[in-house]
Amino acid sequence: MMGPRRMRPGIWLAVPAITLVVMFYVIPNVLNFVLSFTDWSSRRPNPQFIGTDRFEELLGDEDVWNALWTTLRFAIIVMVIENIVALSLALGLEKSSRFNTGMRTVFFLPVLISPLAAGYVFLGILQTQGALNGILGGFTALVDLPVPRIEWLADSTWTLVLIACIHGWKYGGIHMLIYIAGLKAIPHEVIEAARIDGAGRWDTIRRVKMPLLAPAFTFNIALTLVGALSIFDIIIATTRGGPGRATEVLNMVVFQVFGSGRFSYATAVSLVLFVVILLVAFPLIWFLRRREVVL
Amino acid sequence: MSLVVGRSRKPIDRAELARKATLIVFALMAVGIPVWLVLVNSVKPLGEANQLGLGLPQEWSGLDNYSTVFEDGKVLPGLRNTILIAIPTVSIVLVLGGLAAWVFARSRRRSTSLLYYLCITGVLIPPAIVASVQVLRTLGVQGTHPGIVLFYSGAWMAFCIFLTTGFIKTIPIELEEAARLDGAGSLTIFRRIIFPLMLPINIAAGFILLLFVWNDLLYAFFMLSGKDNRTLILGLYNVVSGYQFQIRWNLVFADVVIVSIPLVICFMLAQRRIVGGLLGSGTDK
Repeated sequence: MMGPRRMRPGIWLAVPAITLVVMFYVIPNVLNFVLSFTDWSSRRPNPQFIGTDRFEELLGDEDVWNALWTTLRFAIIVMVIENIVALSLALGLEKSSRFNTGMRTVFFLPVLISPLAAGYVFLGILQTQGALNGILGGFTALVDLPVPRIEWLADSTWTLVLIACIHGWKYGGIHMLIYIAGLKAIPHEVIEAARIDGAGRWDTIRRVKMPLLAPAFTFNIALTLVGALSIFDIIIATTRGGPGRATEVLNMVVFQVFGSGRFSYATAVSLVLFVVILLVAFPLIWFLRRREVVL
Repeated sequence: MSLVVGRSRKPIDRAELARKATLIVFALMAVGIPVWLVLVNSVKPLGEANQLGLGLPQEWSGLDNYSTVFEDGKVLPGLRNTILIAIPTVSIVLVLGGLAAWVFARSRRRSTSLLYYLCITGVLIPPAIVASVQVLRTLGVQGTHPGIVLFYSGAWMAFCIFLTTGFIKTIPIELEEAARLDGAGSLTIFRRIIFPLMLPINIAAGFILLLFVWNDLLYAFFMLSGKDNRTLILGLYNVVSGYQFQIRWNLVFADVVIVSIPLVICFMLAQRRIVGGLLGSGTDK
């Protein structure tokens, strides 16, 4: 009397995991939305509904709009830099030789270091009296010039790019691995066929590997965007939002607003980030679904 | 014939040489210099370290620096707290996530696949911090280790289920069918067959989870209160933000080394399995 259904594990085995996800992930995300319609703060610990006041406050809050704009720009810069570097490394380290495996480990090393620690390390490098100016000083000394005193983290435009580079340093190794996995998934015959047809090294990369890497591209682009949108640690360690407000991202604002006791307003600000991430993530979920079908 | 071979081989070798040289130079600049900067300055006395040079120390003060950090950065209690949070989180997520992933991998029902999508949403959409604090407060565990373990488990379950479901699909279903015909229950099959076979992916997933917990600052900021509950990373943050005017770089770098070393050792021990596990199920078909 064994039906095929009894051959499979019962759904009850998934209940503990689903419960945890619902309790500590789904409910908070819903509650976040609800709380933004209340007056919850350090002075009013028992939230009362006050309607859309917090959102009206949000619309007029220049700091939030500035942070949103900064966060978006940052995410796009990170996405471009990180994917170019990760893809180049993956193409360079595609084959599994001894040299390549060793190199992969080296480029994966920063992934292990906490983003806060990585931020401090690069603060030491990019400070005006830091290591980078010191190294440059070694070169300027050759032509009898003094050690340069470039203020790397004081420029209102380029500081954001430098922080994006730190982000790339910290997380590039993960994306390199994803690209390598994608390259390994390309059937060898396809590359061989292209070579027989007379395609050179560059042509093979551009015309054959790139299109077949589409899944890895989508995955990496979405992951870098989403990761960069929620950046916090590296900025806390380096600029704390400065110079001025040039690197103040949404999570910094949420943190500050929460710290000042305006809890419900903090949830409203975090909703802005939530919506932005949703707009990026949905196309990806759709893509992953399609991948499931292929599986 | 030999002429042709000779011609076609040389440029390939030269390209190969150029590739290796480029990679080595890039690795030295991108990884070598920062790592060296941290290591060498962590053993210099304050004045020398604050020049942030790359040269060898003229005077060694490694022992001094590291023992100061152990005191000021509260390294031992921090390590204890980090481990007390990391081990339960990683165990809960791997075991409960593995069970759920097994169900999702074997089910063909629509309703189950909807639950699967609900469970993996967290891969992309981050948790709502402020409201999570409120949930933990309602349960009476805000600020405590059990509280943040529950939060981490709920938030990172998605990652584990996403990574392991695809892997379980590659395990032949016949194995468990045979066990079932022998009268084994689901939990026994999971414990004796599925979970052991998941070892390669669980090493990779477990290590990444460990990374998340070990290195987290943002959530720990919100969800751990009191000096006694601080993790290693919170300790590092407090050491550095304690310097009002001048950062003491020798101590900061010593703390960075201390905080990073355990993970680097873990990674070195299981490196091939971690990278292999990630490569096997990242995005390949």
